[in-house]
Amino acid sequence: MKKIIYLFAAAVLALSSCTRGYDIVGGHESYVYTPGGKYMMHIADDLMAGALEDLEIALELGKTEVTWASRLSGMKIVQAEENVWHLSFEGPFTFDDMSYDTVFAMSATRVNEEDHADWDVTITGNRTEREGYRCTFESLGAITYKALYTETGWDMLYGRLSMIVYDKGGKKDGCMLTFDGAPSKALFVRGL
Amino acid sequence: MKKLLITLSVLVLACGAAAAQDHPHELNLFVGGFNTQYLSYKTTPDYSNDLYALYEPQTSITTGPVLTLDYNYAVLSWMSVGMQFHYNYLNVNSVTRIDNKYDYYKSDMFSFLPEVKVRIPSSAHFRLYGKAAMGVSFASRLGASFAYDIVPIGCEWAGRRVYGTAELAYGSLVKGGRIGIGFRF
Repeated sequence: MKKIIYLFAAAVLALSSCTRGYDIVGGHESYVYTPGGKYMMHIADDLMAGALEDLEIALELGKTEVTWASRLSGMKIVQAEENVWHLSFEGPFTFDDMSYDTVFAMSATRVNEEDHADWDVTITGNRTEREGYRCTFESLGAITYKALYTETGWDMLYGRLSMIVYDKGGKKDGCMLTFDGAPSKALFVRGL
Repeated sequence: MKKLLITLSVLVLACGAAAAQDHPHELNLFVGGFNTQYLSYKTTPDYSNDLYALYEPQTSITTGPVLTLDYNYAVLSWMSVGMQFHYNYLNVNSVTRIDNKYDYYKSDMFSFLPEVKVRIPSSAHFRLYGKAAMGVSFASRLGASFAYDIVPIGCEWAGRRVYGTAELAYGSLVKGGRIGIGFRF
Protein backbone atom coordinates (compact mmCIF):
# COMPACT_ATOMS: atom_id res chain seq x y z
CA MET A 1 0.00 0.00 0.00
CA LYS A 2 2.83 2.35 0.97
CA LYS A 3 4.52 1.65 -2.34
CA ILE A 4 1.37 2.53 -4.24
CA ILE A 5 1.09 5.82 -2.34
CA TYR A 6 4.75 6.62 -3.07
CA LEU A 7 4.26 5.73 -6.72
CA PHE A 8 1.12 7.83 -6.90
CA ALA A 9 2.87 10.79 -5.23
CA ALA A 10 5.81 10.45 -7.62
CA ALA A 11 3.46 10.34 -10.60
CA VAL A 12 1.63 13.47 -9.41
CA LEU A 13 4.94 15.28 -8.94
CA ALA A 14 6.20 14.18 -12.33
CA LEU A 15 2.98 15.23 -14.02
CA SER A 16 2.88 18.60 -12.30
CA SER A 17 6.44 19.35 -13.39
CA CYS A 18 5.63 18.20 -16.93
CA THR A 19 2.77 20.63 -17.28
CA ARG A 20 5.14 23.56 -17.29
CA GLY A 21 8.47 21.88 -17.82
CA TYR A 22 10.13 24.12 -15.25
CA ASP A 23 9.92 25.00 -11.59
CA ILE A 24 8.06 28.31 -11.43
CA VAL A 25 5.42 28.15 -8.74
CA GLY A 26 2.20 30.16 -9.11
CA GLY A 27 1.37 32.89 -11.56
CA HIS A 28 -0.59 32.78 -14.79
CA GLU A 29 1.21 31.69 -17.91
CA SER A 30 0.48 32.90 -21.40
CA TYR A 31 1.83 33.17 -24.87
CA VAL A 32 4.76 35.53 -25.27
CA TYR A 33 2.93 37.89 -27.61
CA THR A 34 0.49 39.05 -24.97
CA PRO A 35 1.06 42.69 -23.94
CA GLY A 36 3.10 41.76 -20.86
CA GLY A 37 5.15 39.17 -22.74
CA LYS A 38 5.87 41.67 -25.48
CA TYR A 39 7.08 44.17 -22.91
CA MET A 40 9.59 41.64 -21.56
CA MET A 41 10.57 40.65 -25.09
CA HIS A 42 11.52 44.29 -25.62
CA ILE A 43 14.01 43.93 -22.77
CA ALA A 44 15.44 40.68 -24.14
CA ASP A 45 15.38 41.83 -27.74
CA ASP A 46 15.66 45.60 -28.08
CA LEU A 47 17.73 46.23 -24.99
CA MET A 48 19.88 43.11 -24.43
CA ALA A 49 20.28 42.03 -28.06
CA GLY A 50 20.76 45.68 -29.02
CA ALA A 51 23.53 45.99 -26.46
CA LEU A 52 25.14 42.81 -27.84
CA GLU A 53 25.01 44.19 -31.39
CA ASP A 54 26.70 47.38 -30.21
CA LEU A 55 29.26 45.30 -28.31
CA GLU A 56 30.17 43.40 -31.50
CA ILE A 57 30.52 46.70 -33.40
CA ALA A 58 32.63 48.14 -30.56
CA LEU A 59 34.94 45.11 -30.63
CA GLU A 60 35.34 45.51 -34.37
CA LEU A 61 36.09 49.22 -34.03
CA GLY A 62 38.18 48.84 -30.86
CA LYS A 63 35.90 51.24 -28.93
CA THR A 64 35.01 51.24 -25.23
CA GLU A 65 32.00 53.51 -25.45
CA VAL A 66 29.04 53.46 -27.83
CA THR A 67 28.86 56.74 -29.71
CA TRP A 68 27.27 55.64 -33.00
CA ALA A 69 23.92 54.26 -31.82
CA SER A 70 21.08 56.60 -30.94
CA ARG A 71 19.46 54.15 -28.56
CA LEU A 72 22.37 53.08 -26.43
CA SER A 73 24.59 56.06 -26.93
CA GLY A 74 26.93 56.36 -23.95
CA MET A 75 26.95 52.65 -23.10
CA LYS A 76 30.30 51.82 -21.50
CA ILE A 77 32.18 48.65 -22.39
CA VAL A 78 34.91 47.19 -20.20
CA GLN A 79 36.74 43.95 -20.94
CA ALA A 80 36.81 41.91 -17.71
CA GLU A 81 38.44 38.74 -18.97
CA GLU A 82 39.56 37.29 -22.28
CA ASN A 83 36.02 36.62 -23.54
CA VAL A 84 34.01 38.55 -20.97
CA TRP A 85 32.84 42.15 -21.25
CA HIS A 86 30.93 44.28 -18.80
CA LEU A 87 28.45 46.74 -20.28
CA SER A 88 26.76 49.55 -18.40
CA PHE A 89 24.20 52.10 -19.47
CA GLU A 90 22.26 54.90 -17.82
CA GLY A 91 19.94 57.15 -19.78
CA PRO A 92 16.72 57.29 -21.76
CA PHE A 93 15.97 54.14 -23.73
CA THR A 94 13.14 53.79 -26.24
CA PHE A 95 10.63 50.94 -26.55
CA ASP A 96 8.07 51.55 -29.27
CA ASP A 97 8.44 55.34 -29.16
CA MET A 98 8.17 55.46 -25.37
CA SER A 99 11.45 56.68 -23.97
CA TYR A 100 12.15 56.31 -20.24
CA ASP A 101 15.15 56.44 -17.94
CA THR A 102 16.80 53.08 -17.96
CA VAL A 103 19.78 51.74 -16.05
CA PHE A 104 21.40 48.38 -16.58
CA ALA A 105 24.61 46.47 -15.99
CA MET A 106 25.23 43.54 -18.29
CA SER A 107 27.90 40.90 -18.50
CA ALA A 108 28.46 39.21 -21.86
CA THR A 109 30.59 36.12 -22.31
CA ARG A 110 31.54 35.21 -25.88
CA VAL A 111 30.87 31.52 -26.38
CA ASN A 112 32.56 31.07 -29.78
CA GLU A 113 34.95 32.94 -32.02
CA GLU A 114 32.52 33.77 -34.84
CA ASP A 115 32.32 37.39 -35.98
CA HIS A 116 28.65 37.22 -35.08
CA ALA A 117 29.07 35.13 -31.96
CA ASP A 118 26.92 33.25 -29.50
CA TRP A 119 26.80 34.97 -26.12
CA ASP A 120 25.93 34.13 -22.54
CA VAL A 121 24.47 37.22 -20.97
CA THR A 122 23.51 38.25 -17.45
CA ILE A 123 21.77 41.51 -16.70
CA THR A 124 20.33 43.56 -13.86
CA GLY A 125 18.55 46.83 -14.47
CA ASN A 126 15.59 49.05 -13.93
CA ARG A 127 13.38 51.39 -15.87
CA THR A 128 11.39 54.35 -14.49
CA GLU A 129 8.20 55.17 -16.35
CA ARG A 130 5.28 57.58 -16.07
CA GLU A 131 2.66 57.80 -13.30
CA GLY A 132 4.97 56.24 -10.72
CA TYR A 133 5.44 52.97 -12.60
CA ARG A 134 8.85 51.34 -12.69
CA CYS A 135 10.29 47.89 -13.10
CA THR A 136 13.40 46.01 -12.17
CA PHE A 137 14.61 43.20 -14.35
CA GLU A 138 17.31 40.58 -14.09
CA SER A 139 18.38 37.36 -15.72
CA LEU A 140 18.15 34.26 -13.59
CA GLY A 141 21.46 32.70 -14.51
CA ALA A 142 22.84 33.38 -17.97
CA ILE A 143 20.62 33.86 -21.01
CA THR A 144 22.20 32.33 -24.10
CA TYR A 145 21.89 34.15 -27.42
CA LYS A 146 22.60 31.81 -30.34
CA ALA A 147 23.16 33.03 -33.88
CA LEU A 148 22.39 30.18 -36.27
CA TYR A 149 21.17 31.62 -39.53
CA THR A 150 21.31 35.38 -39.28
CA GLU A 151 24.12 37.89 -39.47
CA THR A 152 22.23 40.39 -37.37
CA GLY A 153 20.26 39.43 -34.31
CA TRP A 154 20.07 36.00 -32.71
CA ASP A 155 17.79 33.12 -33.64
CA MET A 156 17.64 31.11 -30.46
CA LEU A 157 17.46 32.14 -26.84
CA TYR A 158 17.78 29.96 -23.75
CA GLY A 159 17.34 31.06 -20.16
CA ARG A 160 15.11 33.18 -17.97
CA LEU A 161 14.42 36.82 -17.50
CA SER A 162 12.54 38.01 -14.45
CA MET A 163 10.84 41.36 -13.93
CA ILE A 164 9.14 43.02 -10.96
CA VAL A 165 6.71 45.84 -11.66
CA TYR A 166 6.09 48.58 -9.10
CA ASP A 167 3.60 51.42 -9.00
CA LYS A 168 3.23 54.19 -6.42
CA GLY A 169 1.86 51.69 -3.92
CA GLY A 170 4.77 49.23 -4.12
CA LYS A 171 5.11 45.89 -5.87
CA LYS A 172 2.34 45.35 -8.39
CA ASP A 173 3.40 42.26 -10.29
CA GLY A 174 6.12 39.69 -10.74
CA CYS A 175 6.80 38.33 -14.23
CA MET A 176 9.06 35.77 -15.85
CA LEU A 177 9.94 35.08 -19.44
CA THR A 178 11.39 31.65 -20.14
CA PHE A 179 13.26 31.03 -23.39
CA ASP A 180 13.84 27.59 -24.77
CA GLY A 181 14.77 28.14 -28.40
CA ALA A 182 12.91 30.35 -30.83
CA PRO A 183 11.87 33.61 -29.10
CA SER A 184 8.32 33.21 -30.42
CA LYS A 185 7.98 30.07 -28.27
CA ALA A 186 8.97 31.83 -25.07
CA LEU A 187 6.59 31.47 -22.17
CA PHE A 188 5.41 34.46 -20.21
CA VAL A 189 4.24 34.10 -16.62
CA ARG A 190 2.86 36.90 -14.49
CA GLY A 191 1.30 37.18 -11.05
CA LEU A 192 4.38 35.77 -9.30
CA MET B 1 -37.16 111.55 -23.81
CA LYS B 2 -35.91 110.47 -20.41
CA LYS B 3 -39.47 110.26 -19.14
CA LEU B 4 -40.43 108.14 -22.12
CA LEU B 5 -37.63 105.69 -21.43
CA ILE B 6 -38.51 105.43 -17.75
CA THR B 7 -42.18 104.91 -18.61
CA LEU B 8 -41.25 102.21 -21.11
CA SER B 9 -39.08 100.41 -18.53
CA VAL B 10 -41.83 100.54 -15.93
CA LEU B 11 -44.31 99.15 -18.45
CA VAL B 12 -41.96 96.28 -19.36
CA LEU B 13 -41.38 95.49 -15.67
CA ALA B 14 -45.08 95.63 -15.03
CA CYS B 15 -45.73 93.17 -17.88
CA GLY B 16 -43.16 90.73 -16.46
CA ALA B 17 -44.48 91.15 -12.93
CA ALA B 18 -48.05 90.63 -14.11
CA ALA B 19 -47.04 87.44 -15.91
CA ALA B 20 -45.28 86.15 -12.81
CA GLN B 21 -48.05 87.06 -10.41
CA ASP B 22 -50.89 85.70 -12.59
CA HIS B 23 -49.19 82.34 -12.88
CA PRO B 24 -46.61 82.03 -10.08
CA HIS B 25 -45.73 78.37 -10.73
CA GLU B 26 -43.31 77.50 -13.48
CA LEU B 27 -42.16 74.11 -14.74
CA ASN B 28 -39.33 73.73 -17.26
CA LEU B 29 -37.94 70.67 -18.96
CA PHE B 30 -34.44 70.94 -20.41
CA VAL B 31 -31.88 68.89 -22.25
CA GLY B 32 -28.32 70.07 -21.69
CA GLY B 33 -24.75 69.51 -22.62
CA PHE B 34 -21.96 68.95 -22.22
CA ASN B 35 -22.22 66.40 -19.47
CA THR B 36 -19.62 67.40 -16.86
CA GLN B 37 -19.42 63.86 -15.53
CA TYR B 38 -18.44 62.76 -19.02
CA LEU B 39 -15.92 65.55 -19.39
CA SER B 40 -14.23 64.73 -16.07
CA TYR B 41 -14.13 60.94 -16.54
CA LYS B 42 -13.53 60.77 -20.24
CA THR B 43 -10.21 59.14 -20.94
CA THR B 44 -8.73 58.27 -24.25
CA PRO B 45 -7.64 54.64 -24.43
CA ASP B 46 -3.89 54.55 -24.27
CA TYR B 47 -2.32 51.78 -26.32
CA SER B 48 1.28 52.64 -25.56
CA ASN B 49 3.59 49.81 -24.67
CA ASP B 50 4.60 51.14 -21.30
CA LEU B 51 3.72 49.83 -17.86
CA TYR B 52 1.05 52.44 -17.10
CA ALA B 53 -0.82 51.58 -20.29
CA LEU B 54 -0.48 47.87 -19.57
CA TYR B 55 -1.58 47.86 -15.95
CA GLU B 56 -4.09 50.69 -15.69
CA PRO B 57 -7.62 50.12 -17.02
CA GLN B 58 -8.13 51.84 -20.36
CA THR B 59 -11.55 53.42 -20.36
CA SER B 60 -13.96 54.54 -23.01
CA ILE B 61 -17.16 56.32 -22.07
CA THR B 62 -20.43 57.06 -23.80
CA THR B 63 -23.11 59.31 -22.45
CA GLY B 64 -26.28 61.21 -23.31
CA PRO B 65 -27.50 64.71 -22.58
CA VAL B 66 -28.31 65.85 -19.06
CA LEU B 67 -32.08 65.95 -18.50
CA THR B 68 -33.32 68.69 -16.19
CA LEU B 69 -36.69 69.29 -14.61
CA ASP B 70 -36.89 72.68 -13.01
CA TYR B 71 -39.71 74.02 -10.83
CA ASN B 72 -39.95 77.64 -9.65
CA TYR B 73 -42.38 79.68 -7.63
CA ALA B 74 -42.47 83.45 -8.03
CA VAL B 75 -42.08 84.96 -4.55
CA LEU B 76 -41.57 88.44 -5.98
CA SER B 77 -42.30 89.89 -9.37
CA TRP B 78 -38.59 89.62 -10.23
CA MET B 79 -37.52 86.59 -8.21
CA SER B 80 -38.48 82.92 -8.01
CA VAL B 81 -37.25 80.13 -5.81
CA GLY B 82 -37.43 76.50 -6.73
CA MET B 83 -35.74 73.18 -7.25
CA GLN B 84 -33.79 71.60 -10.07
CA PHE B 85 -33.78 67.85 -10.63
CA HIS B 86 -31.16 66.46 -13.02
CA TYR B 87 -30.51 63.04 -14.45
CA ASN B 88 -27.58 61.89 -16.50
CA TYR B 89 -25.66 58.68 -17.05
CA LEU B 90 -22.34 57.27 -18.19
CA ASN B 91 -21.68 53.95 -19.86
CA VAL B 92 -18.15 53.01 -18.86
CA ASN B 93 -16.20 50.27 -20.65
CA SER B 94 -12.73 49.47 -19.52
CA VAL B 95 -10.08 46.91 -20.32
CA THR B 96 -6.88 46.16 -18.46
CA ARG B 97 -4.47 45.00 -21.11
CA ILE B 98 -2.05 43.08 -18.93
CA ASP B 99 -4.67 40.47 -18.11
CA ASN B 100 -7.21 41.29 -20.81
CA LYS B 101 -9.80 41.97 -18.12
CA TYR B 102 -12.96 43.73 -19.26
CA ASP B 103 -15.27 45.76 -17.07
CA TYR B 104 -18.52 47.55 -17.81
CA TYR B 105 -20.76 49.62 -15.64
CA LYS B 106 -23.43 52.24 -15.99
CA SER B 107 -23.21 55.18 -13.66
CA ASP B 108 -26.55 56.95 -13.10
CA MET B 109 -26.42 60.37 -11.52
CA PHE B 110 -29.36 62.10 -9.85
CA SER B 111 -29.00 65.66 -8.60
CA PHE B 112 -31.26 67.86 -6.47
CA LEU B 113 -30.49 71.55 -6.31
CA PRO B 114 -32.52 74.31 -4.66
CA GLU B 115 -32.30 77.40 -6.83
CA VAL B 116 -32.94 81.12 -7.06
CA LYS B 117 -34.04 82.64 -10.36
CA VAL B 118 -33.85 86.35 -10.99
CA ARG B 119 -35.70 88.02 -13.87
CA ILE B 120 -34.10 90.83 -15.77
CA PRO B 121 -36.52 93.55 -16.97
CA SER B 122 -37.60 92.57 -20.47
CA SER B 123 -40.75 92.23 -22.59
CA ALA B 124 -43.70 89.91 -22.10
CA HIS B 125 -42.75 87.72 -25.06
CA PHE B 126 -38.99 87.70 -24.58
CA ARG B 127 -37.90 87.39 -20.99
CA LEU B 128 -34.32 87.26 -19.69
CA TYR B 129 -33.19 85.71 -16.43
CA GLY B 130 -30.26 84.38 -14.42
CA LYS B 131 -30.17 81.42 -12.02
CA ALA B 132 -27.97 79.98 -9.31
CA ALA B 133 -28.40 76.61 -7.63
CA MET B 134 -26.55 74.49 -5.08
CA GLY B 135 -27.27 70.99 -3.91
CA VAL B 136 -26.13 67.42 -4.00
CA SER B 137 -25.56 64.70 -6.61
CA PHE B 138 -25.79 60.97 -6.06
CA ALA B 139 -24.04 58.72 -8.56
CA SER B 140 -23.70 54.96 -8.62
CA ARG B 141 -20.07 53.93 -8.00
CA LEU B 142 -19.14 57.55 -7.36
CA GLY B 143 -21.25 58.33 -4.26
CA ALA B 144 -22.59 61.70 -3.17
CA SER B 145 -20.98 64.96 -4.13
CA PHE B 146 -21.57 68.68 -3.95
CA ALA B 147 -23.40 70.06 -6.98
CA TYR B 148 -23.87 73.56 -8.28
CA ASP B 149 -25.26 75.18 -11.37
CA ILE B 150 -24.97 78.75 -12.54
CA VAL B 151 -26.94 80.27 -15.39
CA PRO B 152 -25.49 83.71 -16.10
CA ILE B 153 -28.09 84.36 -18.77
CA GLY B 154 -31.16 82.58 -20.02
CA CYS B 155 -34.17 83.56 -22.08
CA GLU B 156 -37.79 82.57 -22.50
CA TRP B 157 -39.73 83.43 -25.59
CA ALA B 158 -43.16 83.03 -27.22
CA GLY B 159 -46.25 82.61 -25.02
CA ARG B 160 -46.91 83.56 -21.42
CA ARG B 161 -48.17 80.10 -20.42
CA VAL B 162 -46.16 77.85 -22.70
CA TYR B 163 -42.79 79.02 -23.91
CA GLY B 164 -39.43 77.99 -25.25
CA THR B 165 -36.36 78.50 -23.11
CA ALA B 166 -32.60 78.42 -23.58
CA GLU B 167 -29.80 79.18 -21.19
CA LEU B 168 -26.07 79.18 -20.83
CA ALA B 169 -25.02 76.97 -17.93
CA TYR B 170 -21.86 76.24 -16.02
CA GLY B 171 -21.52 73.91 -13.08
CA SER B 172 -20.89 70.43 -11.81
CA LEU B 173 -23.54 68.93 -14.10
CA VAL B 174 -23.30 70.79 -17.36
CA LYS B 175 -20.69 72.96 -18.96
CA GLY B 176 -22.32 74.60 -21.94
CA GLY B 177 -26.01 75.21 -22.06
CA ARG B 178 -29.56 73.88 -22.03
CA ILE B 179 -32.59 74.21 -24.19
CA GLY B 180 -36.13 73.30 -23.28
CA ILE B 181 -39.78 74.02 -22.94
CA GLY B 182 -41.61 75.67 -20.05
CA PHE B 183 -45.12 75.89 -18.68
CA ARG B 184 -46.44 78.55 -16.31
CA PHE B 185 -49.53 77.96 -14.20
